[in-house]
Amino acid sequence: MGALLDASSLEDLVREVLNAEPSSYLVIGRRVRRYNALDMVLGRPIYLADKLGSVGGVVWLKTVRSSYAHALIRGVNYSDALKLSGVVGVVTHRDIPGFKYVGYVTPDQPLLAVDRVRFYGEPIALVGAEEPEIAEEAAERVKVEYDPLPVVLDPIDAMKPDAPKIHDRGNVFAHFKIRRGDVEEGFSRADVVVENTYRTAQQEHAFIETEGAIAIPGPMGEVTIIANAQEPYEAQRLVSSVLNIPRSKVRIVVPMVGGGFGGKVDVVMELCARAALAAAKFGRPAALIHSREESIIGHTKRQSTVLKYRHGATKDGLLTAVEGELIYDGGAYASSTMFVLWRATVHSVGPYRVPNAKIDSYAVYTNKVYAGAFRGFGNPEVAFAVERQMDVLAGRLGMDPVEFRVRNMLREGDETVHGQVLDHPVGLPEIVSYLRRASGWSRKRAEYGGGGSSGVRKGIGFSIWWHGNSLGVEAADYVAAYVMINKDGSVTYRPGLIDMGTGNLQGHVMMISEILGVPTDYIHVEEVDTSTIPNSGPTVASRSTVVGGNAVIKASIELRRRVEGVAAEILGCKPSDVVIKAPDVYCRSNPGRRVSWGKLVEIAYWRGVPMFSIGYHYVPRAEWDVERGRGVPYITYTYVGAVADIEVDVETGKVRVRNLYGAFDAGRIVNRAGAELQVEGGAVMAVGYALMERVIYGDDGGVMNTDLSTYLVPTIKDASFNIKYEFVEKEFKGGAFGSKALAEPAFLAWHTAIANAVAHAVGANVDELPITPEKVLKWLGVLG
Amino acid sequence: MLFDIYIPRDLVDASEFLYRNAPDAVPIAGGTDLIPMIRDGKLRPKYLVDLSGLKGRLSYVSIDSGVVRVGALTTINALGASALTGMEAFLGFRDLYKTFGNAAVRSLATVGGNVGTAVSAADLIVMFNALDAKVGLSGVNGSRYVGIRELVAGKRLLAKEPGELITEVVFNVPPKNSSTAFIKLGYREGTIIGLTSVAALVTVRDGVIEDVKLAFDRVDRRVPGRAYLTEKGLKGVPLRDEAVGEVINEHLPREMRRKSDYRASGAYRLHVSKVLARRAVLTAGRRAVGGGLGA
Repeated sequence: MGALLDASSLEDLVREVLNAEPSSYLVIGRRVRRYNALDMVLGRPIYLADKLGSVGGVVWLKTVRSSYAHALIRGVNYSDALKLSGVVGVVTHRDIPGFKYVGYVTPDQPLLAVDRVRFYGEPIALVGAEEPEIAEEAAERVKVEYDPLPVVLDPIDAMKPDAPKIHDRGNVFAHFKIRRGDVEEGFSRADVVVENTYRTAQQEHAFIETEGAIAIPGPMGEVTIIANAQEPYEAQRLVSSVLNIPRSKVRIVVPMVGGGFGGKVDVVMELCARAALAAAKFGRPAALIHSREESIIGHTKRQSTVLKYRHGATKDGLLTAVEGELIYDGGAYASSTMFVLWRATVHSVGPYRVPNAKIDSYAVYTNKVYAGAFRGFGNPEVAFAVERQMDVLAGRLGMDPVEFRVRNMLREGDETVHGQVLDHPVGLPEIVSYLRRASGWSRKRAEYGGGGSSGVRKGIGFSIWWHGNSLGVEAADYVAAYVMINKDGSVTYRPGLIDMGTGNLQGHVMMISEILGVPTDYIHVEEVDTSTIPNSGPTVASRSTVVGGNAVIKASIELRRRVEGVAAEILGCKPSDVVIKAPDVYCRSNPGRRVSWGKLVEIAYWRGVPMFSIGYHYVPRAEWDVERGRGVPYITYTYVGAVADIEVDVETGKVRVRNLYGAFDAGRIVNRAGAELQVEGGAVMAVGYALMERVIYGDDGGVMNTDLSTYLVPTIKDASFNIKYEFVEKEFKGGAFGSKALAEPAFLAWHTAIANAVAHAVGANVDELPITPEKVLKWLGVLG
Repeated sequence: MLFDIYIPRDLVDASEFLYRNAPDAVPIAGGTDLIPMIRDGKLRPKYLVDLSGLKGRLSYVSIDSGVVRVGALTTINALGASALTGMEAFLGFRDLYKTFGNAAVRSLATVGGNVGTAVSAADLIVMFNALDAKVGLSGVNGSRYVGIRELVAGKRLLAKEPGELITEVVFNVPPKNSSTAFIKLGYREGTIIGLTSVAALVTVRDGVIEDVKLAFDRVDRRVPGRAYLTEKGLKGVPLRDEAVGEVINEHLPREMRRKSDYRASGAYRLHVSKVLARRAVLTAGRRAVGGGLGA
């Protein structure tokens, strides 16, 4: 089926093939147990480290890391390490036959340090040994001589003209703009102008499974690498360029992954290349799996930010101008921060009508751990700053915060700040309406806030936001899906996108099930394997359902048509009359004419009907004018909203989230159980981001909280809030089964609502995340 | 990270092995503190002396003639299931169980192990300070008892001889109309490493604080201690919010010195110590006059 088949006509095709209305879909939109739920719960060996059992003669690798945040390397001496019994060898940049530099967008990062290190913990060499403990001890014996350079940890400092240069081309490595109308004219018309600076901290993914790669060299110069890679095809590219071998000789296999959130995109590419390098040098399989401490200091973080905003509005509550200077701290290397910055810029004024806008966003190098992709990808930070500004404006205008949003929010047919006309349903009115009702907003807003007895103050906060679907202008946006009906009627699905626990592939299983007419347990999902499935890009950007699903649909429709054709001939009715409810297949008009699914498949095989299909879906490239920030950046937007009902202990500063209310316009919900869990999990993660998570640096640039007892993520006891939410299912014709993206949007409005609720409770501007107890006491004026 | 494991025949054998191989041998009970220390490279023992076989002898909670004796190998779970939990005087232990590590840790961690860590984050050391507990030690030269404050001499520093093992913790049942409370504050609600913790033992008579013991994770040293000045100031004070608060606000800053670190500032810790102390004293006091757990 044509790759360029328009997505919305695909939606019509689905209806035609299924000959059913969405309300009567068998599995789509329902709660269906995940295909591997039992395997996960029973602890079956489906993850990366489990594969070690079947790989013989593994060399264990340990990374030698920099103990300076910024320094020149004068020399690396590993002769002592080699003396330790059980050590197989040491790998440095000198062992790289091909290209030495890596980077998701810009290759500014050495795979193994050459002459300089730019963050504390940067990889310098690999030690290989027969046992992991020996590798660890040997790594400690590697001596590195450094010439320390000045350390820059604050992006504002890094932007100063006399700042030490972290990279030769300067510390600002990306700049995006939006220019619309005339902001000075807009501000002159405003009755109220509000200007503030907001700060957010680096966040750590803290997935349960750490990142790793096992490289197995083959007899013909090829290498197979098992890795928990969110982008296996780029990993393949990187290994190929580092080892100087063709991609056809590099095979990346991705097993079930224990959480990604964006943290297993570029780092795992690097681990694949390092493991493959070691495997090639030693002539043996090599395993490189990060410990938790290495994971925290050794993979990309969420950027920390400094966001300066100026907003102007009339006394009727209409925005007249928005000006912003957005600084995203990329840490030591560029990674995907440029793309993060672009997404942040696109979303930087929020889902509002803004007649005049001037936004300048900058990506800046510092000597912090490098930053990259993390759920939301630049959006959560601007959401926090803008939604705080909106509340502050509403306060100055004496207007209810929800009413103020309603007056400015985008509706279907409106033009965004970039000039994109929203030619699809915009669920914000329904979102607002649900939230007002469900949360008891008006009553609580009046009752809570400031004053309060027994040392506890309540607060309620509201927020809406938007999230552009899929990749936008970042990259070519395509996905492949391979579906095969085996001779016994069971079905094999080879995905192009990986399973990292989000439930994305379960959505695909349900699509195959619905279209083919087979129960979901007929379908077996294979691991992603770059040798057997075409390049499908990264599993990121919440694109698995909305974009990936279309590839699955195409493959499934093709197979359905073929099988239908055979059934029609056997049963003597029209193909459109064939009902498939495996194991039964019959004619709708004459149910007596039936054949079993197994028999049908067997006959199809006998007749030489190809019982496999590769679906391929391509999203036309987005448009973006770099000078003015105009164009059509995303195919569509998901809209979200939330209300947080919290209480503050005014003596200790601790915040307790009591109730959360959410509403999501993510188009039609395909995998309902998965969607619900994304929302609830997103809420827990947002409580962490809002109240307790931050990577903390010492003056020397080293991370202080390198394990999960000191980097705090919410436990089940921190998730004791009540949560109620609704899906506003306004079908998007371009998305598979009318869906839109949800995985990241499910995280987007909670932290902003919590921040707004805390501001309501303490009566001060909450201008920093995370909201620690000490900061609350500062805002309350209790502590200096 | 490579060590051998020695399985002793009995307590005497364990002491002798530890004595002979000091300082390269360390005892292991639940291991919930020891293993992370080894993994972090902070401790590199050659031998771990596995005490699990001694559970039969050293896991008990006995209350007799006004004296409580808790065996060193009693797990936190076992302590929580013992007769202590039913006694009004010891309701503070119930607060302690709720915030001690998490379920997995509570099933492994032991009373002796917690005392043996000698850190301010050891909740039982704070509680035992408030109870004026004594710790039983057994070594190659016999057994003896030493006060908890004397034993926990400094951060990760136990004032005992090589080969001496903690065998039990002993404290008195407080007088009638007494109860306890324990409060630990962290940045989150589960698996908390406390920023500040406090244990209070309060005896009430006619609505007035007759006696009070107030212990914190840190007072002026890097290990748990007692706020003696504040205790003195609270004696005779009515069990009322403002009255108790006023005394604590006045006295505690005079004897408590809090350091700043990357987790929190000294000013915040001191401020919160005052708040928690007031809450703990009031709760213990209300429990002491029959208010029950939720007082």
